[in-house]
This record gives sequence, C-alpha cells and structure tokens, in this order.
Amino acid sequence: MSILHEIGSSGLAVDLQNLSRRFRGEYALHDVSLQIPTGSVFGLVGLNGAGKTTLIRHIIGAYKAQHGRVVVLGGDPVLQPQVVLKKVGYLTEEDSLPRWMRVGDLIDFTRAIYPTWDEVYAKQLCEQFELIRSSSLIALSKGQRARAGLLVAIAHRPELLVLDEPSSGLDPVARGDILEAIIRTISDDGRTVLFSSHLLDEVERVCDCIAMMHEGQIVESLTTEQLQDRYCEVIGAGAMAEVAARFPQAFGWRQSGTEWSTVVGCDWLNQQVDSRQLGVIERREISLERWFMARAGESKQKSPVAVGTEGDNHV
Amino acid sequence: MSESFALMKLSVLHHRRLLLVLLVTLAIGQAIAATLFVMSGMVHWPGVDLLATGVFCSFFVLLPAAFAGALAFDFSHGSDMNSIESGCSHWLLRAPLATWKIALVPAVLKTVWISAIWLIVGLVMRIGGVVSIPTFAPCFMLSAGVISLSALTWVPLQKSWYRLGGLGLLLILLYALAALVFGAAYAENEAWRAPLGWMGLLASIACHAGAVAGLFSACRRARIQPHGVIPEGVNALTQMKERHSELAARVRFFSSPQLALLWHEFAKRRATLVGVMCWGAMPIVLLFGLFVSVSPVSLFLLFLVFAYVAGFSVVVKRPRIDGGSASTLPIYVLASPFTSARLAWTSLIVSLVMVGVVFSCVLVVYLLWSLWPSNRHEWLQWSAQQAAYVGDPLRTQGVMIEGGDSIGAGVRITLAITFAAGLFFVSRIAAFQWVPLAGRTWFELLVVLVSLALTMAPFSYFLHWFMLQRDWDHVRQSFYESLTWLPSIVILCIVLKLFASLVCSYTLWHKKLVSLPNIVLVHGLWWSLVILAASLVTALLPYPQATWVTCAGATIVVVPLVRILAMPLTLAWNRHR
Repeated sequence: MSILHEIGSSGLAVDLQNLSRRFRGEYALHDVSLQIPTGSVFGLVGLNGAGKTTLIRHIIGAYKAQHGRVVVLGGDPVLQPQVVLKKVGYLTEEDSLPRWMRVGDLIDFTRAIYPTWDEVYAKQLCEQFELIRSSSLIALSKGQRARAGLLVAIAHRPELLVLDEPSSGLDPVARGDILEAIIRTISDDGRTVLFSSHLLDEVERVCDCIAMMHEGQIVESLTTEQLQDRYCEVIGAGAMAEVAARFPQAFGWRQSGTEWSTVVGCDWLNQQVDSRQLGVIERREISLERWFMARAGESKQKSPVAVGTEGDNHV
Repeated sequence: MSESFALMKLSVLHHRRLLLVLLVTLAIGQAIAATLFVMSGMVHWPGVDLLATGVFCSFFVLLPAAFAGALAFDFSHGSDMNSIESGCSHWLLRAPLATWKIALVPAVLKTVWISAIWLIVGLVMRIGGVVSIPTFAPCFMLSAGVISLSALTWVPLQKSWYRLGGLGLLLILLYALAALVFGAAYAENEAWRAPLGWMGLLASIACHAGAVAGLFSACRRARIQPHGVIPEGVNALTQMKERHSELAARVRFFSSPQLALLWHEFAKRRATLVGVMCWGAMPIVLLFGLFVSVSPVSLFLLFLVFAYVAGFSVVVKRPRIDGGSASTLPIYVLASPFTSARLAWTSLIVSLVMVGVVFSCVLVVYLLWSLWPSNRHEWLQWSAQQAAYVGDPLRTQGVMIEGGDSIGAGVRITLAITFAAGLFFVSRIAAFQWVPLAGRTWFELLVVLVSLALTMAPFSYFLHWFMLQRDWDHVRQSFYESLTWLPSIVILCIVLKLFASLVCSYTLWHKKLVSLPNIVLVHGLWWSLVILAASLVTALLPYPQATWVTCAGATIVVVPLVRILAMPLTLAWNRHR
C-alpha cells in the first residue's frame, strides 16, 4: 500500500517508477519506485551513500534514468527541462553559487529566468536573511551564501522545492527560524517540498511523509502518523540474547546495562496477550531517530535476533 | 615518499592532461622537424627550403608548450586574475607542509620546463642556421617571467585590479630585460657587447631569484591571512564600501531570459577576456608592432599567435565532481529552465565575440606597423607587385593600372587576407567548442587523438611520397595535377558536410533538443554567413582566380556547421548523465 493511496492525493509532484542507476557496475539506485503527493512535505533520510543525492539528481534532470521512469510535475526533466525546471526550486548542500557574482546579480539573473518570480517576496526574504545586494558572494560566509541560495530557490514560488541537505550550511538559528518556517509556508500554499537531511529532529518536525533509503533502495516510506501507528519501542530488563527469540519481527536491538530495548510493530505487540510475559516493562512512542537508527542498523547488519523482513514492513 | 617528491608528483598530476597533450605534440613536431633537417642534407629541391620548413615545424609546436609553461606545474586553485583571493590551492595552503617547499617545487619544475624548451629552440635555430641567440640568460629570464606570474596569482590582494597592475609592471620589466639579453649582441660599440651580455645574464639570474622569493612570499602571505586566502580587511573594508556603492547595488532588469543568460555567460568570462588581453594580446601587439617588420612570414606568424591566444580565451575551466559521474555544469545552470541548445549556443556566441575581440588586435598591429617607414615601403612594394600581377591580364585587355590603384589593390588584398585568416582561425576555434561541453576527459582525449590521426594520416602519406621523389619537375607537375582534383575534393567535402548536418539536425529534432523552426533558423544563419563571407572575399580579392564559386566552396568547407549543431547534443549528454 502506498502513501498515495492512503493520502488520497489529487496528483503527484514526483513519480519514480522502477528507477535504477549504476556507477561502474555498482547500483546507486536499484529499482526505486517512489511517489510524492502534491502538497506534501516529503523527507528523505538515509545514511551517507544511501542514494539520496542520486535520486534527487534524477528529479532535477542531472541524471538520465538508465532504467525506469521519472516524472516530475507531469513532465520529464530531461526531455523538457524548460518546462519542468521552471516550476522547481533546488538548493543543494554543495556551495555551488557562482562566486564571481554579487547578491544583486544573482537575484537579477534568477528573476529573468523564472516567470513566476515574486519580487515582493524576494525583497522580504532579502531583508529576512540580511542579504545586501551589493555584497560579493565570495565575501559572504558559507551560511550567508546558503541563505542567498535559498532565496533564489524559493522566490519564484516553485511548485516543487527540492532541498538536498540544505541545513549543512546554516547555523541553528537559521535552520530553526528560516528553513522550517519557509518549508511550512511553501507547504501551506499547497506546494510540494522534497527535503533530504541528516538532521532527523528537523525532518520529524517539518515532514508529513518520510522515506528511508539504504544501499540504493527505499527501505520504507510512511507518513509521520503511520510511524506512530505502526511502530513502538519496547524496553525490558535482562539479557537481550535470552528474550530476542520472543520478538520475531523486532529490529534495532539495544542493550544498555541491564536494560534492553527494541522496535516492534504495534499490531504484533497488541496481539500479544500479556506483554509482560515477553519481558517488556515499558512501551514508548517511537521517535524518528530511534526508528531510523533501528532501520539503518537492521539494513547495515542483519543481527541474528533482528529477523524482521524488509518486505513485511514496506508500505 | 618525501614531501618534496609528493609535491612534485602533485604538480605534474594537476595538469597531466595538458602536459600529456603537449609532450605528444612536441614529440611529433620535433620528429617531423628532425626528418626535414635530415632530408635537407640529402636532397635539394629548387624553391623548397626544407631547413626553414623544419624550423617552422619545430616552432609550431614549441610555441604552445612555451605558453603552457605559465600554467603547468602550478598548484592553481582555479580562481581568475580578477579575484582577490589567493590562486594557490587552498587545500595545499592548509596542509602541514613547509611554505618554501610549496613555493620551490613549481619554481624548479617551471624553470626546467622553460629551459628545456628554450634549449630546443636554440638547438633548432643553430641547426637551421637562422641566427645566433643567447643560451642561458633567456632560460632564467623566461622562467622568472612564468614564476612571477604564479606569484602574482598566488598572492591575496585587497583589490583585484592590483593583480592586473602588477602584471603590467612585470611585463615592462620583462621587456626591458629581454631588450638587454637579446640586444646585447647588437650593441653598436663592440666593446660593450660582452659586458652587456654578462649583465643580461646576471640580471636574469637576479630576476629569477627575485621571482622565486616573490613566490615564497606570496605563499606565506596566503597562509597567514585571517581567512586563509582572502586578504585581511576585505570582509570589513571592502564589504562596507560595497554596501555604499550605488553602482554595485543597482537593479538590472533583463527583458528576456535569453538576455540574462547572455549577460551571465559574458560576465562569467569577462575576467578571462581581460586576462587574455592583458597577458596575451597586448604583449603580442607590442612585440609584433614594435620589434617585427612586415613580411609574409611575420604576417603568418601573427595570425598563428593570435589564433593561439584567442583559443586560450575560450578555454573552459572545468570542475571535477564525483569522479566524473556528475555534470560539470554549475548546479544553478544545470537546474535552470534553459534548454540545452540555448545554453550551448549562448556559450558559443559569447566565445565567438571573445575570440573576435582578441583576433581584432591584429588591426592594432597593422596600425603600429604602418608607423614605421620601412614597413610602409615594404607594403607599398608588395602592393605594386600584386597590382602588377592583377593588372597584367587587364593590360592585355587595354586597361591601365595607375599608382593609386596599387594601394587600393594592396588594401583590398590585405583586408581579404585578414578577413579570410580571421574567419579560418575563428572557425577552427568554434569547431572545437562542442568537445568540452561534453564534460568528459576521455571524450576530449579521444577527439584529439582522432583529429590528430585524421590530420597526420594524409600528411604522413604525403611525406612518404615526397621522400621518394628525386625529380623536382615531377613534384611540381604532380602538384599541378593534384590541383585538378581539388574541386572534386571540395564538392565531396560539401556533400559529406551537408549529409552529416542533416543527420545531426534529425538527431536534435528526434531527441527534442531543438525545435524544427530553430534548426531551420540555424541552417539559414549559417548559409547567410557563408554567402556574405564568400561575397565579401570575392569582392575584395582582385585576382581573376578568386571567383564567387571558389570562395563559396572554400567558405562552406571552412565554416563549421555540423559541430555547431552537435553542441546541444554534447551539452545535453553532460547535463543529463
């Protein structure tokens, strides 16, 4: 069951079907299918090298699909960049802005190429980010350059905003006050945001839907509500090895002193007559970080006790 | 591995592609030159100076290698001359290495490279018996020049124009030194020649030592700045000035995205153009205008040198990203809503304008040449010869040639030659613009190898045939016989070119890279250019052989079409990997 079906979307901002990509024989993306509903704030999480940036580069047309299909806002970003990319705002973690320009040059250039440019909004953002038109980009700090990049990515009010690790250049104040606020504003306008980040608390606060990638595949994708409905964290006392066999679908085992904890499916746990018989002393709501760490650990190293199959947990 | 050796390896690896191409070209060129030198002692053909041809062949490949000495073996960061920050690799500046090692390694390698090239030049000139030249002083002098250039690019400065100003001072110093080194042997007072020669050598050594010290100082300054590479105070003082600069703060409204892209392409390369004009074009203008007299050889060399300089002005600095798996286009361009065709052809237009600006400096050289009475006399004589040659067939028809007509004929032929040479060299540069757009090193090397093979194969066949000849009259007769094939070859080339352009146009349309009206527009513009150029050359050239059909045939062959059409294809290949 896909997120799309559950949300009942009126359309798709991004539709990836069986997308595969290989670099020197190694799969960077392997048979990835992903649908991002219009109007959602979609978080993409995963370890380094999981394939997030490769996937995003397919969305902006920097990579041509070797196998599979990429549809962005109803068009192909490779065949119709002049149509699709007009409606896409993109900010990357790379410090890629042209350093020979001034802030004003960058704004003027971007204004000319995006017909939907909102001059009032651009001025407002310029003031909010404390950017001065006459400042050379080379003389700005990394954080200031990231703000300039964010300004030109959103001032044309894109239908799809793609943010690939945008927080890496921003200080905590900018992250909290600017990035999240902007993502929310864009989302409130009914626009779509694809947000890739390592900062899970940020993703948790901002995103409606989350997909986790690992080794070029979408391990799982779900909404933030589904995360709570589907998983929970249980804590017990004693030796982890002794109780592990009682939790056939658990993953993300942790032992801390005499306590152990693991992530289990809520449905499975609810079916158990008495969870105390399993050794559970506490049941907690799961945080995104706990789920991510459990998932990443499960994918990275299949422990003999974490036997949950990936297929069972797919949405 | 010692630090110095590691640095040496790094400096070679940094420009390994350039060095590889140069070494291969040098080897091929010198092998051809050596063959011609050997042949000159074995066979004698009237009217053919194999020795001089060998010298020319050798210099043809030595010239770019000498120019490359300014770039190669440098730990450059890729910043331009218009930048305030240090041009030395920032990563290297932060590395735990002694400053003197970072400075000394490129200095030594540049000295070795330049000296080796100069020694080959000396050897070739000695074999060719052209003129005796000093051996060691120029090695130090030229090395000092290229090391000083590195020092100028490495030092962080408060203002970018300081760098260009420093360059001007450096050029003046080098001219003065060159006058001392090369002019010593021609001093009127013979007693002064030897002391002046020694003075030139000592001054060159002193300049070389100064340049190395300058490089060390630049490196040290780049390392101790508070921001690492940006000069102290720039973030406070310069930013404050920028904030209050009305010029910098003015809002620019572009009437169309195309104009914005055109502005972007030009503004991006403006600093390169300024650098090429200051470093390359202006020194050559002065060198040719003040020190070289008018002759067919000097004119040919002038065109050749400006072709190289114009070529340098459009060399694209390419970032290396993700080991070649990602596009080399800047991300903000890659993700912009421009079509690949728009990006490629806008880049071509700006390149052509830059090349045109550089190549038009030839006219400044003409102006300087015309200031010298000896040059004017030489040119007038040549004009009279041409007028007489053109006039002979007319005289037989009863038309008389007046004195003023000879100047007119000279002006027309000079303009026609300049226009044709400009069109030829600009076309050659434009013809290779599609290659770097692909953003793939292996592809560039492949194109270079294929081009070399296509050029060298017929040349080798001709050389092999030529070496077997013992009768000059037979060679001449064969040459004239081969000319009868020329129209057929040109027609074949035109047919192939038009067929290839159709295939390329279909591919562009099929891949939806360019719409049909735009393909037709490009073809229409190309044909208009060809017809205009052919008509202009025909109108200017008074020779009866220069018919419109001949000129049009040559123009069609010379002006690239298929490779211009291929530009969106290679750019899309780079953009959408």
